[in-house]
Amino acid sequence: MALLDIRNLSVRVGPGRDALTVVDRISLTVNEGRILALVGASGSGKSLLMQAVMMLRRDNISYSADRFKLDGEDLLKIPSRKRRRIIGQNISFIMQDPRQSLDPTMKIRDQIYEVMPRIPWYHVLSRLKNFFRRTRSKTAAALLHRSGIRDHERILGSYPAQLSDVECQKIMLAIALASKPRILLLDEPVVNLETASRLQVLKLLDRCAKNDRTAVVVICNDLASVYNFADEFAFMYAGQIVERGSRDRILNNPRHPYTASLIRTMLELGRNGRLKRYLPVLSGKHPDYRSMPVGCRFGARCRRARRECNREPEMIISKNEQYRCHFPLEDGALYEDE
Amino acid sequence: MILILLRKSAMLLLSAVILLLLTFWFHVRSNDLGDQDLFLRFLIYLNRILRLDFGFSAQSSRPVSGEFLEYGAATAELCLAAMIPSLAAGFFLGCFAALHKDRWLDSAITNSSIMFSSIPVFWIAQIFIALLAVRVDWIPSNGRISLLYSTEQITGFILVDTLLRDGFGDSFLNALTHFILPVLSLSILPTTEMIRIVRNSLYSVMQQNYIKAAFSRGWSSWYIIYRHGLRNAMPSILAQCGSVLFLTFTSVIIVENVYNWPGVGTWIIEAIRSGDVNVVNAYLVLVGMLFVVLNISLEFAADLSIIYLNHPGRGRSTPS
Repeated sequence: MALLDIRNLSVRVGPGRDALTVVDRISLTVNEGRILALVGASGSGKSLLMQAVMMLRRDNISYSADRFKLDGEDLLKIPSRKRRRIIGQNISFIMQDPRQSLDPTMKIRDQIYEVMPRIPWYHVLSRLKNFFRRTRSKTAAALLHRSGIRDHERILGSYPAQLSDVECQKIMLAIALASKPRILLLDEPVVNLETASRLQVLKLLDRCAKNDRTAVVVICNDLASVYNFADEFAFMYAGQIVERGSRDRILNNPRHPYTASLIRTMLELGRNGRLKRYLPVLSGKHPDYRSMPVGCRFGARCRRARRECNREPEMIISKNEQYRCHFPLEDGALYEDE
Repeated sequence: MILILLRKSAMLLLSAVILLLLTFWFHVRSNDLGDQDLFLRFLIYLNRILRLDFGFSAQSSRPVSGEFLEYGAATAELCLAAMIPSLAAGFFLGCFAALHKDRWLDSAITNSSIMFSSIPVFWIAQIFIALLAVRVDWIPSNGRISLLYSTEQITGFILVDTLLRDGFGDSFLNALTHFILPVLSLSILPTTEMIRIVRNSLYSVMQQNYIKAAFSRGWSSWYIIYRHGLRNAMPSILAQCGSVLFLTFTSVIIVENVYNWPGVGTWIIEAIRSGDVNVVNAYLVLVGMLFVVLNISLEFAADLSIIYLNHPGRGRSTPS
């Protein structure tokens, strides 16, 4: 059974009647020990989707879903305060820009202590206080060590402003993993990092998924940075999931033209690093939510678009592939010249 | 920290000198000094002020500084009684409003605070008298205590005095009922101001990502406000608290006059009416100095909070 099972989740932005449906009836299943990469252009609603999964309250945003099950438990039937706690205990969310996610006025030590299980009051009162203090700092060091930080003494005693981006990202990982979450959501975890630290972070995530059986969901707008790391891909375009499948299937035989165009931009870099030929840049721009095109949302930018594309395509779900297109690419069509 | 203290004291000294020069100008204008050396006169004036010798009141022929202490205690008691609850209430309501920004709770708090802050103090005070003291006659509206009880002073604070003399007896309760209307009318403005300050400072902090990250861990809202929200908003809240003090001190003059409270407000209005220059001068110097000292100590407190809450504003935590 899927760890997280969401059916027809919609996110509406804006007040009352003028609200725009930005995330449109997305269904999502997340499985234990698997890494799911959610790829899409900026503005396609990936971050909003993640915030909806966390059910974070925000001004002017409303969520609706038909089903929201976490490990078999239906969260839609639970009062919101309790729901927030359950989600917080089971799902960890790392937002974009890790430095902003750390309180600038607190030492890293205190921020890590904050997420660790509390020392009960009778321990604090008793003579064992110092003992528990010591184990607490040892646990904090172990947490940091697990997320790949070696000089934890320096890190624990410093403020976020004194640390580099990759250190902040690793600290956020340590904080996220401290509560032993079942699911880890990351919003563009590697976007600001240089290649070496990018690989370090991805390796950590991989270890989380493989060793601890954590389900990892990574948002990125750049397929190249995660293509050999994720087990599954979901491609988002204009608030909808347009294609979803396992890595091998997607990379070899994409069905949706948008997926194909993203993959092609990677393939055109030849073996010796030279461009094989003119890079097929996707022309046009992402549609505006205020004036969404009728029918297929990708239609205006799609070379294969026909008349039937004025009708909105349904999600076609077969055994190992899901896509939303009237004229999907055939097997091997990725390499054909268009 | 010593550097900050020095800087603040320099500011204090500068403002004090400017204040004294202004009041000296008033002193020169109101007393005919002939053609004496102005600098020499200023030194003499300064000497008298440092000894807290403001001459005698023309109305009561008593030393002005003694009178000021007596009336000042009444005013201070009223101000404290109004400010402590209004600061606390404004603080919590502001936190509520920031937490529920743009929802009905926030708009209820904000709109009603705008409404209350636009009611003139003298008007609402008279309405209170008309409704609660005249129409239904529940609460007295005149003075600090009924004339039936003795008013011998111990500390000058009437609640403390009656408590010391009789315990929780009739006189204490009588003094307490005399407090209700002035405190009610005086506490409206500071409360609304405090709500505005806390809501705006806290809201800008609550927009930050670390607050959202804390919310995503499923913690309770009040814990997040206490641990991360107020910690980051405190310096700006403290620095703006001066305006709350300012509002209270200006409206206390009106409130005292409406309720015939024997405090500094009625004293100074009476002195102005009868042209008692010594009293007016003492008032200008003492209240002006009080303001300067309070404002600067609040700024100092804001700086201290920056240091003790390890704000990024301090030099140490900037990236090296």
